[in-house]
Amino acid sequence: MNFKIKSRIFRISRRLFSFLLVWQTFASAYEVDVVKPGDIISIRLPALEGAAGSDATKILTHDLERSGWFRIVSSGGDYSIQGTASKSSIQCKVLKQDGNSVLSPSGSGNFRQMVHQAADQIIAKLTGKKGAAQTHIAFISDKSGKKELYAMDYDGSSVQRFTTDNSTVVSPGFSRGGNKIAYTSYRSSYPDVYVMGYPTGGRQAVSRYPGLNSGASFSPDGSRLALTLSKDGNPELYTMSAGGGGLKRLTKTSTGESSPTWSPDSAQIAYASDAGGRPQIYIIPSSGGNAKRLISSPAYNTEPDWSAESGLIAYNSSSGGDFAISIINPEGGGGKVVYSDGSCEDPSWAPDGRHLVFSRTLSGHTDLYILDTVTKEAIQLTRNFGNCTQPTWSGR
Amino acid sequence: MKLQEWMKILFAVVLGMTLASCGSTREKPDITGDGTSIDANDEGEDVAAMNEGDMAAVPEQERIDTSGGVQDDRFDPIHFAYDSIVIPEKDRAILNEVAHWAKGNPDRKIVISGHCDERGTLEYNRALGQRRASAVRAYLVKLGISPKRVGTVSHSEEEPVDPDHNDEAWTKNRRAEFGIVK
Repeated sequence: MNFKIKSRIFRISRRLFSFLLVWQTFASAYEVDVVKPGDIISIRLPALEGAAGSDATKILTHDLERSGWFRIVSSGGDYSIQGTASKSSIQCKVLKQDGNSVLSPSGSGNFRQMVHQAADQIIAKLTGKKGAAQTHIAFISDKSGKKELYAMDYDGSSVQRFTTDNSTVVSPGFSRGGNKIAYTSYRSSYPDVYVMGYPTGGRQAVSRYPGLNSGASFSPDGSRLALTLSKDGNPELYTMSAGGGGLKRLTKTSTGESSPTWSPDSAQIAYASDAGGRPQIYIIPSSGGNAKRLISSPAYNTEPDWSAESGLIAYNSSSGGDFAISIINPEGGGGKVVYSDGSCEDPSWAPDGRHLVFSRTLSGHTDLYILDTVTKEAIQLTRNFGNCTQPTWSGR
Repeated sequence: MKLQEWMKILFAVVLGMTLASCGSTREKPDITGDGTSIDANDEGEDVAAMNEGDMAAVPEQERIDTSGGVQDDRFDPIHFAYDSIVIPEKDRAILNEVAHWAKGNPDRKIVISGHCDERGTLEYNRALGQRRASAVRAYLVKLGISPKRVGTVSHSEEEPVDPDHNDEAWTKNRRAEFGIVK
């Protein structure tokens, strides 16, 4: 190839590049650089104006900081936020350093929810990632003296009780859409699985076979549940229609299978089993087939939760004493401990694929904590609310 | 008989002796019960395998109605080692006693509840508690009690008899209880 042709190709590609650049500018008024884990965006957030400005500023600050992507600064900053908030609406402007407006987030309705709406708009625009400010966490507390189902906003506010079964309620699991919770209740004196509308609260028993019915987990599209049943004599994994019936048995072992969780594409199910002698994490096709062991050390690994966002599986692991929160990429690479202090159990992913909620027992008392898997920092979510266990994060 | 089969029998005998060595010299229970064949497992499992707690569990029948309450102090509970469903040699006399009582009271039903200590995780322990209850149930069925008369329920680690956090409490809490339906 001679020099002339080379330089012509260069000119053409340069023109194409300029065209793409201009086209992109037209396509979107403002695009940010793609953030990566560890990036921090500094943002100035003077108190919002209006009757509820100060309360809204607090919630917004919280939401932005908890997302892990932002640091609130008092001067300078990559961006600044201005705006006004009443009890029923919020209107803001996000400005770049040069004073140009990037976004006008807004929200209306329930006070806390409308601020969370604005926060998620800011997070999505400035990071390109899904925020979790409008999500909910359901969990079990023994505050009343019995284990019952509760749910709250992701930041620990607006706690609401959903069962008064006065027996034992355990193992809640949110649907990805966030509008249903499957859980186990012993109200019949046996463990049965119920599906409850959220937050409406209407419930339906969907699995009441003799023996054990527990650990129900919604498929990504919400149409099926994976769960443990012992009706055939031994605890085994099954899937069933989310409305009950349509059973499909997945495992046939002489051991115990528990805590199923679906892969993002719903083709596979991860679960805990002691089929190899000790409790370990396995993966099986959700349509049936051969199980393969994903993890074989340390001695005790259970309660997997598969992130729809990142494809990573969080679980708890122990080599004999307390449990630690660990993460594994099912595509390979081995498990890694991400948090260990006290006994940490039952991790559940936020829809942002970055945060985990889990229960942590210190000196015999159990509370919920949220872990940022990037910074490895955990913050306490529940306080003086009995023992809180088995959290599940809504899908949105 | 093939070498493999001989090896299987040898393994089973050694396992049986190992498990029996920690217990008494009491005669093994007549697991064929009223004389019917052991049919819970097509491969024909023997006493040693049963000791290991690995016998085929018996499918559940209909749920037993306990709305009238249960009496749970008629028989001593069966205790288990950590993360184990093996019924210890020393507790088998209890099972013989329960089977004997059940045969003398053919209209009564029993619900076996399985329990764990607090150290495992909740849902794994729910399955483990179920397996303990199912192992005890299978044993009673092998002693000749109809599976229709015996139900199971797992309480994971949620109903400890001793709420303390030490070995002594954990030993008491790993158990299967017999509830006689009123």
